Amino acid sequence: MNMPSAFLFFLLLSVMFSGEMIAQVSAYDQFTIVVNDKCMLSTNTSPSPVSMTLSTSVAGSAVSPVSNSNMYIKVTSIVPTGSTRKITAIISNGTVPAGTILNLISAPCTSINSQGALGSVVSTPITLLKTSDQTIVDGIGSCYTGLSTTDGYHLTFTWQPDQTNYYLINATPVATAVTVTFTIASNN
Amino acid sequence: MKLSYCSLLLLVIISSPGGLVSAQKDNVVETPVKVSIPSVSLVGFAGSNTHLTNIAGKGAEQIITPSIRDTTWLNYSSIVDEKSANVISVNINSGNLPAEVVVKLNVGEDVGAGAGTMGKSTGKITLSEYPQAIITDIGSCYTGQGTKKGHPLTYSWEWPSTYDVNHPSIDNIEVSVIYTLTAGK
Repeated sequence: MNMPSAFLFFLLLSVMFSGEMIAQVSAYDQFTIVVNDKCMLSTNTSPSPVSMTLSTSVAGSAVSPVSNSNMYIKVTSIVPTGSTRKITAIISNGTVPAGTILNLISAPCTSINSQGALGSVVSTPITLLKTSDQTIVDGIGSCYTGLSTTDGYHLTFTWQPDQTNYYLINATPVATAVTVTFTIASNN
Repeated sequence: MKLSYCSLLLLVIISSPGGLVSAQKDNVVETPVKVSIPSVSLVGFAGSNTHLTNIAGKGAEQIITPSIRDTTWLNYSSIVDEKSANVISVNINSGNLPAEVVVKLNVGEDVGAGAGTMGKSTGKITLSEYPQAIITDIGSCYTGQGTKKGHPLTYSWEWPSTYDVNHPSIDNIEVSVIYTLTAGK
């Protein structure tokens, strides 16, 4: 190969190489614009309420714990690299009737319509409080739970008498309204 | 490169369904929870020698005979509102109790197998056809269900000294006693 043809070959190579570089940079730019940090949450039941009644039909027995598992939380999440999110619950309005305890637990996300890093659920029930958010699902990365009624993190509310404060229970002619607020938020 | 870019874009499109975007704060959702506690007033018995029936709207009935020696246990469950307390009353409903025979009922205090504001025993009474309060100031509570739970009931029969307690007709004495749990005044 003589000198001019070697130069031409080198020039051709560098043009091809730089062309490839431009294409890659352009694709990378679009990627960062499209994949926004996303985090959305909804339920299948809201705004219709979760309803529970505490009672007994046997003389001598305590009012029985009662559960409601109508509710699923649905999530869409895209996280920045290395970060995770959690779902927390708090009583944001109203008060759980005296002498009773309202507990909440989540089952792992349903698998049929979900994908991604769905995190792990807190395995023991939390007692819902007015004063602090408590985690029910943690370690959520980029994922989606699915949209149908029975997709998502399946929640179970359990309402029960507090044995040591049983004497504080009052019959209520009207149902007591309590608002539970769920938040999906970053761990960082 | 191109393929993975497309699949990422597709993932974002799939995972951003329109229905979820409408809320003002996408990362928060509120759920109303409605909880109700109806009032409860249930009374029943436990024991080895109890002939018991529940009478709708009246209470619990026990048939007693002079041969009853064992303790009967009175179990109850009560949920009251903050201004009320329940009362358990007893009266003779029916039977063939001879006028000269007296049945006394001793009501012990709750033995502590349950929880809540238990009622207070009024002690010993003479059974009559008129309802008499035997346990008062019952708040929201339960005694537990079964023997050795709740209040012990013991009956004692008193005969005139001239009475022939060996007369066969004594075996035929049966008295229906009714216990009712009602809202106190």
